[in-house]
Amino acid sequence: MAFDWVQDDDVPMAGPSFMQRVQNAMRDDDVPVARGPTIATTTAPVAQPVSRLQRDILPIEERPIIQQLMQHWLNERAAPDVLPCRLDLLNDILEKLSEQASLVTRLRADPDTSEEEHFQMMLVQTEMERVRFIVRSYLRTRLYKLENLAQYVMSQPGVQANLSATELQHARNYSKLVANQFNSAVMVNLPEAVRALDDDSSDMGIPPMVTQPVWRQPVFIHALRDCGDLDLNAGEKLRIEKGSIHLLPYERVQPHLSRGEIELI
Amino acid sequence: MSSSTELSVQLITECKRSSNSGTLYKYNDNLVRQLSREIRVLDRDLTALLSSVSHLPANEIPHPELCALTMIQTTIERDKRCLLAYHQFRMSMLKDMYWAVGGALPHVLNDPDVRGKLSPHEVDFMREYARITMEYRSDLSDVVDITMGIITPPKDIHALVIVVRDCGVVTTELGAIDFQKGQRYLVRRADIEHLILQGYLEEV
Repeated sequence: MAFDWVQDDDVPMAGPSFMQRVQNAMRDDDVPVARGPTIATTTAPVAQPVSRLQRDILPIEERPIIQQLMQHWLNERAAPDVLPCRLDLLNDILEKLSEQASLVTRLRADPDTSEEEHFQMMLVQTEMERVRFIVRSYLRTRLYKLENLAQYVMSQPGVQANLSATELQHARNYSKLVANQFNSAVMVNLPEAVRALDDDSSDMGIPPMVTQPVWRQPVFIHALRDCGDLDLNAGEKLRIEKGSIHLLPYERVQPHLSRGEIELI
Repeated sequence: MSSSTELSVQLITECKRSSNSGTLYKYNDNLVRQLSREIRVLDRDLTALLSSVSHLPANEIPHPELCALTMIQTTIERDKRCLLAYHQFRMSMLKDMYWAVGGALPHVLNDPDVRGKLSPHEVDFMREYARITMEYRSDLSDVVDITMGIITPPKDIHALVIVVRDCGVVTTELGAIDFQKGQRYLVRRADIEHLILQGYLEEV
């Protein structure tokens, strides 16, 4: 007997649709859902939820530390020069991460944890991985900028104050490495008079050998406070109000950024 | 002034081609030597010219000599900058390669294809760079592994991978796993990410 594999589309369904059945299903948990403290409530999650509207206008320092780190990460990615290193934030977060990690390992080994808690632990671990991602990206962005601006950084003690001790050491090592490389591969074949590594003929229109950050780079800013009037190039002034978004050259907004009045997006 | 046969322009064109195609070309020792020789010759001319007018005070040097001096000086500086730019460009390509494989230097240097394209100075540079990055990483390596990917945030802690090349027994959080070619495994992302970057495993 030929089996009719093709389903007739106009045959009416035997009952309510799948979605309706799911939504109207009875509770049938084998294990009663715990009402007491569970892993979700005992591990203080690293991020407390803050409503988006509030978060958008809160000064950076008053936000939960994850969002502080995220904002500093965004600032770092958008700015052409190296911003102050938030080692304190990083240490805080890494400490919390290791606390969570030890809590997870302890609960995993504990035979009393339920299935549900195992699932919750997976979510916690995913969050930990994502936080690590942000920390990683923050550090790598700084490293990248450091290496590109190594000569500039070494010649400016003001900028060196923005770096952590390890970063400063790395900048020192890297600029020495590059100088050695240039000297041994190129300069050794050239006459003595030409061997300088810090030429500056910017009066003739040639960019100086020591690369500076691109000060005129445009950045998007989001004002957290009223900043008053901003001097633009042609003598115009721009009024920066709280909550507004602008696209401006970095050099104009840098003082505001360092005072925490604006954030980069 | 900048004809396309000029040596410095040739070096820069090579950098441009290399960056457009995303591949590293062989170290152009020939061009570099020619350019260095050109700088030396120009410098000799410059010194000769300078000594011929050195008895005159600066504001009495005749115009033709002044123009010649400026021209030669400018060309020397331009050649030097082009040379340095070429080396700098190659260094940044090498650094990118280093970070792309998650900081596994042997993986880059032992690849004969890549090795043949580097000058001995560049090999030294890579080794030294690996050393100073290791120093930087050692500060935080127990908590956060800086060499893992930073392009997309992880959505999942596990990854389904298929083994492309044999990599032997690897210790992971779930114990020691023996990766056999052609097998699939569900493993924690953090443990095997460096293997994915180096091409031993492929994410499914």
